[in-house]
Amino acid sequence: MFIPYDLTKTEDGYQFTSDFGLTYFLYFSKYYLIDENGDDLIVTSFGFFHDPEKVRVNDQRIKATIISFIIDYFEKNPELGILYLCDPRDDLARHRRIIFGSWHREMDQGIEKFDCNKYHAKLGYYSSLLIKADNPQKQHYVDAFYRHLNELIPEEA
Amino acid sequence: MKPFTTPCQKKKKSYLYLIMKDKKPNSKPRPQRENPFVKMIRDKKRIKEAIANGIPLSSLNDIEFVHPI
Repeated sequence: MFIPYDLTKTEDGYQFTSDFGLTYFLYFSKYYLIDENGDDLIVTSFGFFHDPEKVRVNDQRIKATIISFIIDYFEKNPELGILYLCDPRDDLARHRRIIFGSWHREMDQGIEKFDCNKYHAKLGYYSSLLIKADNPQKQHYVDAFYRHLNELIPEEA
Repeated sequence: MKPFTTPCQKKKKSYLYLIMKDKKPNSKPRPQRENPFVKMIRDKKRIKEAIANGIPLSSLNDIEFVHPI
């Protein structure tokens, strides 16, 4: 496993600079899923971008940093979920979901991933819910995740 | 004989009555929540635009940035 980069807390989130001079900015924003009883379930959405934007470098330490970041999140917030929506920029949403899926398989920390179904993926809504397997509210989160997606774009019968 | 009450006591009594009359239920009305995917898609677009224009994300007031770590 590669050594994660050191993160610095900023006003908006977190940042780190890679060995190749790319500065990565990471942020969490807060949302609410509503369960079947009408109660709020807090989820955070996780996003990141880098500067300069167009430079692409294969740096395994970046992957290690993001994985470690998510593991740290669940260690400190085991009762919450993460909602992830792949950026459709450059028509690479599907590609991003494949990469994210492979990163998730490397986490191995009792963190489960629930993906949107094929119908929503086909329409470009590549989204996933990450949640601890032992979260007592897990089923409420999972049900609410799929219900909100279906509210947004009802599946054709 | 009626008990004697000072004007101050009378005022206090009527004030208490007003408080009791206007007392609201303890549970706050729940805010109307938007579908999180709708908001998330809109927020992502705004975040992208802010980054492209060098605007600090903290200025996007209705996006709740958090530091969970």
